Amino acid sequence: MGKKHGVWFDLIDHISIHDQVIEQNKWLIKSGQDEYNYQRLKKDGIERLKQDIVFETHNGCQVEISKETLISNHNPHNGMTTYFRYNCLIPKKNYHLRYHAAHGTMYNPNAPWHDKPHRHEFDGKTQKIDVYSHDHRPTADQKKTYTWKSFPVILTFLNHEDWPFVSEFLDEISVK
Amino acid sequence: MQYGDIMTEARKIMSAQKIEITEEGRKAALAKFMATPVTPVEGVIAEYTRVLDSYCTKFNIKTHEELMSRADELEFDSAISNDILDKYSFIQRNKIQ
Repeated sequence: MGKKHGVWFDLIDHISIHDQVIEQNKWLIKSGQDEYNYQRLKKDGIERLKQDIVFETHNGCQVEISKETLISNHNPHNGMTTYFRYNCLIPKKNYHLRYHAAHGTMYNPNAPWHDKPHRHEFDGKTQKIDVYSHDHRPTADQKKTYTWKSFPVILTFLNHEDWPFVSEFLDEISVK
Repeated sequence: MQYGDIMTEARKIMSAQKIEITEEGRKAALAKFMATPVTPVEGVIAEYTRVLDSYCTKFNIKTHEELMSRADELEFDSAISNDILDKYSFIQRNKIQ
């Protein structure tokens, strides 16, 4: 998360904002089809807050939101999100939207989205991938094409590194 | 883009959405935070490793890296792919810290 009106958001602000966003979007969520789990993860003196939400929407989406946020005595690290995954599956439409933070590149280092936050949109047999980054490939590779199950991947570098907020994701799925 | 620039943009979005941080909201958030259980990461890693191993066995895949790559391409059903992504990336993040 970050700062507002010149003041850094701390962890408590972050939790408060997250809860407000979910509350403002409660109209989307089928009653009784929602679960909220929070954990504080501790390792070598570093602690993170893990927030997991699972719900179904009235418009047929199966939604998962997972985030991890640093807990620290020092700003701006306190309250900084270090991992996110937002997922929306609409089985009837064979539609799948997945936002997530970077993950490992060891298996397929040639896929230039794995090491940056990115967004997959699977719609039938089409896959679009938007990467929250500039095109960091060597110049010679920038015209490379990629396939998914023998279909082309439509790859776009968004040329910025702004991680998407939960609110933007919820806005997007609310009109699916 | 620097972190501060990202947050300048974040601030604009928050403001547009009329999200306000109030004392009442902070108190509720603090209470929630204080009530959240603390879990050692090592136990979570061991549990997640076991789950990934079981997927490797089930799908006849040799490494977690290959499992992750194939999950990212949605070779498995949605729930399994998401589970693999969460657990794999959790282990990776905690290995490098």
